[in-house]
Amino acid sequence: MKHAAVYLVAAVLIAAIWALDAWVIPYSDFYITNIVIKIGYNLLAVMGLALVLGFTGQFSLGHAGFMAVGAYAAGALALHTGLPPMLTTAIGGLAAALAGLVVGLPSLRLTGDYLAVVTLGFNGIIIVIIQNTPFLGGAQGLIGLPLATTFATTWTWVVIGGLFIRNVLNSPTGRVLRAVRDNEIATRSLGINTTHAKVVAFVIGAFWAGVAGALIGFLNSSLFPAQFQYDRSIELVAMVVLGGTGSLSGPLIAGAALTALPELLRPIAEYRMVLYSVLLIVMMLVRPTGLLGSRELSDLVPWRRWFGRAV
Amino acid sequence: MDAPSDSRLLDLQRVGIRFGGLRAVSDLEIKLVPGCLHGLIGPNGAGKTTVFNLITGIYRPTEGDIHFDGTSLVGEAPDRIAKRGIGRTFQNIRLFAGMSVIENVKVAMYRHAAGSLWESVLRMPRYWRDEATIHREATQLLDTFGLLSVADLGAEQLPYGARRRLEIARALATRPKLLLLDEPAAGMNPSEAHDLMNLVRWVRDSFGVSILLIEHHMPVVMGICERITVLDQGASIAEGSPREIQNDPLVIEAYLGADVEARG
Ligand SMILES: Nc1ncnc2c1ncn2[C@@H]1O[C@H](COP(=O)(O)OP(=O)(O)O)[C@@H](O)[C@H]1O
Ligand SMILES: [Mg+2]
Repeated sequence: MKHAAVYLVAAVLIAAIWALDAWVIPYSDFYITNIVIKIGYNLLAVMGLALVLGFTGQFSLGHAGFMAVGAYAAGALALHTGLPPMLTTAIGGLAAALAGLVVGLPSLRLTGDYLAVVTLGFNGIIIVIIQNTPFLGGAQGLIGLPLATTFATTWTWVVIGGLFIRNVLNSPTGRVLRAVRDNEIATRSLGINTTHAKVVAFVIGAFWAGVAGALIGFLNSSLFPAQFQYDRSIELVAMVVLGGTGSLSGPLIAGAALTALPELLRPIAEYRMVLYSVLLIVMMLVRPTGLLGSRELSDLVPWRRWFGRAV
Repeated sequence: MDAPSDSRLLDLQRVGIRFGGLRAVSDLEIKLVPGCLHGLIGPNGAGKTTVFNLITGIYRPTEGDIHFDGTSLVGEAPDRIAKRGIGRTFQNIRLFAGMSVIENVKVAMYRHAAGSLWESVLRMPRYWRDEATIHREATQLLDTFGLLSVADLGAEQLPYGARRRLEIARALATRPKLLLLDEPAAGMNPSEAHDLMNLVRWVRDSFGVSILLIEHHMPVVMGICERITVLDQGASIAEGSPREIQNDPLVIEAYLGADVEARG
């Protein structure tokens, strides 16, 4: 019975989300609702990167590239085939996961800086491909997508994604990922194929980035390549690093804060990249391990008994 | 005297490696029989750690062949070699610093889990069974190594001697046939080193594992090893029982000479 508790929590959360969607969202400020949805899809992207960067220690600078793959796969499919957007959102995630496999397999054999360069390059290449593919709308953008991203759909994905990542982290595979981050040579000495482990993390991270991207298209009814430039990748890295590498809830908190701040304080928005730099420098000075370090919110508050670790 | 070749667990056949101009190991022959406790000694820089790195696939020999359980290891990746049943520790301890003591051991049991990642994600019954088994076995192992009371501490919080023990426990958790220990008593005081050597012998006896042990303090290995290979400047200068080694003039010259120099 104890084992079912987390599903119960997830079910209650999803029910609450749909209740809010039905009874509160219609009467709430459109602008605020929009911010809450943005927070939702950013959290999906952040949790994927937290797995790759925070827990596995792989410095990916191309997470927005996977968002683009998911967004355009889901968007184009919905537009050209009429498949329901929520189905193509999942397919977009799978397309991004496939891209993660293709990028990850060769580059994850190598270490550190090389991966950062390859993923950054991948991000750039994806943008160029989209800009030059008429089927995907080119530089003018893909427009006329169905409006299907709502508060409820976004946050249902967030709950499912959060549960998915949490369960990966608290599993034999999750332990292996942290071991790879801490000492790859020692991990290999235990008979574990570390390249395989890194690719698994990368593919999962890419999947949730793809879902996040797909939600963006169906929120705005349009997609533009410029939305997925490398600055978005850097933004996501900032969220993970500020939240704490080796924590899931830390990056989620940082992700929510860094999404909401520029929206609520419009003048800041233009200086977003400056804000991130300053925050990163301040954090390095006062709290080098990030907001939560490698702890979870549940370690700090006594709900741990009910929620388990890594809520 | 020589064991027949099919009963050899590990067989280094004229193994050598060159780093640029330096021949770190040359023409080395080591034969291990199942159940052995074999010492590999020699002064600093003799090439002992390099031998471990050759066996475990971190380096590829430029000469010779290494057979384990009858087939060659040369060219196989380190994780494949470990999977075949060779566990090791490192001279410069390599624990998973961001993980707890018990998690360090649990990682090593990864391959004992029967369930897939999907079963973990969906929290299927097999996930819970795997986790329960892994937890029970890891707890037992930590208890054996006197680490149960610190199971939930971060690995980096352990004192030095306990870290060395944890690294041995972690290697054993993979259920190896052969265990390579690289200076497990380094940095310990004589009484700690003595206790550790008793532990090593006990591990060999109760886990049914064969052990190849590097040590550069001679007295430490003399007491527990049945056979010893002495390495100097990458070459084996003597092999035999502790008594034979102790009385070998070449060993006394190369080895004790270096010790006298170090002292004086
Ligand atoms: N990767 C390497 N590249 C170059 N030289 C190396 C490498 N690994 C070991 N050596 C050299 O090989 C020799 C033996 O080193 P090592 O095996 O660590 O000695 P020991 O463990 O017996 O103290 C040393 O001279 C060392 O500098
Ligand atoms: Mg050494």
